[in-house]
Amino acid sequence: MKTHLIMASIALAALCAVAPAHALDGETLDIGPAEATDVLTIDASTNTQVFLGILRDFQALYPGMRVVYTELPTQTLYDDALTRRAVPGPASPMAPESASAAARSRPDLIISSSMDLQTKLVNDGYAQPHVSPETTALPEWARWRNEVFSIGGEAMTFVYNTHAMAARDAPRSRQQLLAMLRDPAQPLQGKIGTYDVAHSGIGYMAATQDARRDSMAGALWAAMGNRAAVVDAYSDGLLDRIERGELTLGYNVLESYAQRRIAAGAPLGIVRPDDYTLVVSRVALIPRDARRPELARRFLDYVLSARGQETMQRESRMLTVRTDLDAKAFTGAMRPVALGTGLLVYLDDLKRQNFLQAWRGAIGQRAASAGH
Amino acid sequence: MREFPTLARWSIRRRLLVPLCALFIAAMLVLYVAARGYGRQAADTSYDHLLQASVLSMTDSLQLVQGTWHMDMPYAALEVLSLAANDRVFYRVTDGAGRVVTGYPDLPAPPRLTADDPQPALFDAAYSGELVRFAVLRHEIAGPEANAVAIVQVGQTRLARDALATDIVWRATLIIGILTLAVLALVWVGVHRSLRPVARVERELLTRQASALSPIESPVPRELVQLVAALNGFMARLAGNLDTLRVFIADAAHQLRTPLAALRAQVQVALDEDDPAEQRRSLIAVDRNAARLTRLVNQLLSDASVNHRSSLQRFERLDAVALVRDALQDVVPQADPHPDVIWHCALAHAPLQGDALMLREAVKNLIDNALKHGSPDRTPVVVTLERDDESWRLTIDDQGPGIPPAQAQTIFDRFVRGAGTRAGGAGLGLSIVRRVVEGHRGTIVLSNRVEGGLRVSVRLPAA
Repeated sequence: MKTHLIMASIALAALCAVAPAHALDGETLDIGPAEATDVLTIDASTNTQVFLGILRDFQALYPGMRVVYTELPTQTLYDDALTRRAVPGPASPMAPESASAAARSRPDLIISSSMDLQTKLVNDGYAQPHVSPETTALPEWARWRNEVFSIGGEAMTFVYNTHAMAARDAPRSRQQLLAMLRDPAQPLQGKIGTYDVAHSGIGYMAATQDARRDSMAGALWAAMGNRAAVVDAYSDGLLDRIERGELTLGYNVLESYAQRRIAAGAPLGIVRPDDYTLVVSRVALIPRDARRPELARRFLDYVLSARGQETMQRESRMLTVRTDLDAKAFTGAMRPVALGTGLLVYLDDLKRQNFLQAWRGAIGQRAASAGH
Repeated sequence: MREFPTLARWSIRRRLLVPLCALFIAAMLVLYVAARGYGRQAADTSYDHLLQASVLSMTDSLQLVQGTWHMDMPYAALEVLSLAANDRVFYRVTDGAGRVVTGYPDLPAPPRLTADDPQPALFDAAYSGELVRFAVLRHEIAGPEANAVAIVQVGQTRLARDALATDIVWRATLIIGILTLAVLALVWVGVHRSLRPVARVERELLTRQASALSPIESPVPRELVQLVAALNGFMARLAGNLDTLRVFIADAAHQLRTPLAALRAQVQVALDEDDPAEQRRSLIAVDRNAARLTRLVNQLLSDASVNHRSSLQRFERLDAVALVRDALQDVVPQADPHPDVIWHCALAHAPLQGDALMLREAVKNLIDNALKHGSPDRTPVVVTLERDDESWRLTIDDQGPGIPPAQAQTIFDRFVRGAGTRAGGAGLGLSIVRRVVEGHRGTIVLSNRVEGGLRVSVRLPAA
């Protein structure tokens, strides 16, 4: 966690020099004229550095507008939304940990990589609808009830260290990965890593989707457990280890994170699995109690527009969700996770307990929990 | 002119369209209400199955482990509900004591749970600011000590249901609307087509000559045959009347010309005469001819009057005895030379239905004829009125020459005079009599008596 924070601070400090940012605490980005009356408040789980390019492009489009962007964990985003609302809502599936939410200003837009928690907010009536030409152009899986929208896709990939493994040796599918894990030569013993499903929203969602789609998911986890897999709650933590050579291969790693490191010269290779490549989304919703919902709508329409999607692909290395603009976006084995009530199943307390129990049982006690 | 109610003047098209419109609008309303009920029911039925399936699959995944309920919710339990793409879903599992096992703790409670229903019960309740359809099932299994109970409740907002119901209603309404318009258009066209024969008859009547009274020839539908037949009958009677009138006028003019010519000749003679005696004789002839002419004109008027009255048929209750007595009073000159008329009548009253004026005229004519032609030497004329079965018989016997058998029928025709009668008759008297008698459904017979003289026998039905 420390490394993570330090990294963010360094990145933000570097940005400070180029961006017309006025106030910066550890995880908040403030762009635009300070005296502006139009202030758009965004709470998001996405790294500020990943989102900066988009915010700046948006700010260039609307120079008179100030954008306050705060990075928060997905669970905090969810808990804050519940806390703000005085209406008696259903209990949070995960224990609320943030009581300071009321102190913060109400966001006009919540962007989270936790599709299930965002879906639950919509299901429980915490969001308000937005219908525009941009939102209706989205494919069915990328929106639900016109209240929650996918703004960018993230492929869950295999990432390997090119020094430790040649590109031709890298597994192309889960079957090949399973075979490699079961190889008596044990090439991946202690060298395989994946998300800590119990402590990562994206990791949990990816694992549950694997369980739905892949009959061998249990076998894969067990095989990883047998090879003393390392689990980490953050993609960056896994990628650090792979880059350093501590790990050879990472399973279910966010592609955009790896691509940024490769662009910076890291010795990493990416494989989109042939059998299926899971695509999760960053999803946005406008809370019912948003102070400036019209600004949030303007931002959403920008992000979903051709220009916004292009900026997103360039600056954040995410996949476009406008399949009408890019027909090749999700062809082949790409399997976007659809927004909708199905996502609520794995949020069920008992379901979650059962699933984590099964996952822990499979991946085993030997799995080294890599805490920061 | 009688005042008809406004309704009587309504066009046929309006008469048909107004009730049909009203009927169809009423039918549309009824169908709309029915479609709404049906639409909601149909929509509920389809989506209720999904809701029940969700409840059943959740129930199926319930396990009792050491007295505690566990549920490994199947993915399909909520995924199946996403067929209603935009509807929110809520669920809850509680145990027998009402403790929440998992899900939304504050869901509205079901109205009343039946213990042994294998199918989840359904109800609507407000939740999270919307009306939500719930399915709930009470699940009971035998535990080690006591039976364990779990209550599974799944709810879904009504967006998809309402959309489907609305869709059903609109489709039904659209079909009903199109049907109604089609029917009204058909009625409009149908009325137009059915009224075409009427227009044809109208055109035929408008274009024909005023004198053309031949029957209407345009083909007409069965419903109009009666009307056209009545119209044709009316025109036939009109044509007959016009013919009679024309013949009468021609005859009358012909009859008037002869005495007028004689009159002028005699006046001329009188004017050319210097001798006052001769002049006087001519004037006497003029007077005689003028009298004859007067009589002729009177008879013509009487004939016309009888004609008119017989077509009116205004009959009243009369006494034939009084009638004949009055006629005798009128026709027999009271001054000398007093003609001998013997009046035989044993009846006190002889009631009958008839037109007094016409009958008196007829009787007067007959007695007058008898006195003029049948009483050469003032021999008595015998008038008898008696009952004969269901009718009254009036006989008038004279001592005159009678009539030749050949004339027994033609004597009744207009302007036909008996052979050997002296000048003075116009030949209308018996014609009038016969018309009157026949107008009263009676008979008249002329016969020569064995002992000499003519017998006129009139029979009129008694009232």
